[in-house]
Amino acid sequence: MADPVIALERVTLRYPTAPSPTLRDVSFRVEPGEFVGIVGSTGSGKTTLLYLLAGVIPHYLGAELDGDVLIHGRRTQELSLARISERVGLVLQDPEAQLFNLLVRDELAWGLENRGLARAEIASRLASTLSFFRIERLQDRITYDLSGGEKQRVALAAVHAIAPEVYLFDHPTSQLDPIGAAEVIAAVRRLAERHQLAIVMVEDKVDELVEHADRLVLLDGGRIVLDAGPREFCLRKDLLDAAGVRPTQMAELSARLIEAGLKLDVPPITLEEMTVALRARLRS
Amino acid sequence: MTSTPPAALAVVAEGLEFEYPAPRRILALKGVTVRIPEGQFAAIVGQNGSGKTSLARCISGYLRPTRGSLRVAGTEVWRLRPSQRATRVGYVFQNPDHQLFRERVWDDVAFGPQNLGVSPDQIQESVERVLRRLELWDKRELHPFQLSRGDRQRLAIAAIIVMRPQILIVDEPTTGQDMARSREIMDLLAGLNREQGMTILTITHVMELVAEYARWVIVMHDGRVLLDGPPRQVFSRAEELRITAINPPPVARLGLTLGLDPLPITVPEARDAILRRLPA
Repeated sequence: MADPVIALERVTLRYPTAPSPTLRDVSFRVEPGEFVGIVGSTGSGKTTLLYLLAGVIPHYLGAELDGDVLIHGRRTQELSLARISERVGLVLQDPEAQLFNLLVRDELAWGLENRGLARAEIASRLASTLSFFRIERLQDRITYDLSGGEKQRVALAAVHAIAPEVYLFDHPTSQLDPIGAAEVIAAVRRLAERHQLAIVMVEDKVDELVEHADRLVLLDGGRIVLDAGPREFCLRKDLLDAAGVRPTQMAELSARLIEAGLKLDVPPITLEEMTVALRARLRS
Repeated sequence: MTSTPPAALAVVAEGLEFEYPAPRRILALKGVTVRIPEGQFAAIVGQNGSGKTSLARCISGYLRPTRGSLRVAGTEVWRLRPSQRATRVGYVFQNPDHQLFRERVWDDVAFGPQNLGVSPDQIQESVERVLRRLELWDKRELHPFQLSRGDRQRLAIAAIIVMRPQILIVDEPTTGQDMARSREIMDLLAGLNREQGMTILTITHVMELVAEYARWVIVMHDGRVLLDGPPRQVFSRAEELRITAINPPPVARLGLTLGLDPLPITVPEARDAILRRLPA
């Protein structure tokens, strides 16, 4: 097993004003090239987990913290937020909370300028970022004039321009249409593979995560109750129901068909699998 | 307030065009023709930039059509003063934080009726009724920004429905909500539709919810209506949908591939359709 880029070791976290902990005894690691999806209902601790991994907690938001948050084996408490942000990029759920430059190209160049990169290097990273996310046509647009979906792409691209090793995403596709969402998540998958990046994505679209993520982590009441590959994840109906999360539609359909007495040795969780499993059996 | 006689059609658009003014000059609607009967629960779907929100904002009266005709609740709604519009059509923003602005939850809901000149007694009564209905009564003294995102979304809806519009437009009610919360909001809209006969127009990207809740689907593409009809009929036209960013729910795609008839659009329908086709 490769060394993890980031890891939580037995972390319990409580916000100063909260009566009870938001995260309870959470351990979790992500290796280079791995894409991990985080799923859970509202209030399960997903965003807090991302803030911890990004160093936002404890450097910006205070909380009582037990256990360790490690980046390449170093505790985030001992690193400055500036150091952490060179390695870990966070894409927020609401892109308006993140975009603040007037023009799209200034937004993309901002992080690079702040790192003191040479002009030629900035120009070249800007061009490759615009093309990777297919947003060349947006570069001279005013950021607050963009649609919600366009803002989400630009926010993601601005983090990509900095070239971190770890990408943290909080619902990156909430304002994108279904094809746009699928494209963005597939692009993130390619990023992870091509550059051996670690991806942690909080996302409600289980269908998309199942297609692209290596592992899915289920949070319920601040605890990790399941950390498994897509198939095992989808088939733990007991845990998913308890956490208020739905698996893919095909996994739900599998469960209903099995209940009704249909034999399915490997329950299909994707459309392709279901089509193959049923095609030969149905009468015309 | 004057009451308008009930019209059979909530929305009638013929060749509706809308161009955003300079410097953008984007022709967002390029001739929309659509009819939405009163009491309908309709979903407007389409990819980012297809004109969904522009159409919804024309129907709400915020935007004035550039060309073509548009009648909402029997009238050219954009000609009306905001106070006259408010009882005909209400528009709930995609981001509740763009809409909420008062210091207390109660004040945010009372703001509309206060501006309509409703009597204080009546305001008390209707604000309480709406807050209880949306399970926000216990939070009435809080600042809106102390609420969770899901509660803020319900508050944004409360602040509109307290004015009892005939037509309620909700732009992306499920953004940033998990599936359970999304269903709660759709259940709320379905209840308003069923109990008060309120015409519901919702913009959404979540086709599973469209299949479960909407009785009519309007597919927008490049500033025009590409298709409209009941969800089962629209989702069966996969070929035409291909040029949009609309993908029918997975169970509908399965049904199309396996030739299930009638086309299932929900999980229980798919189960039943498959069981019927299995050899005994």
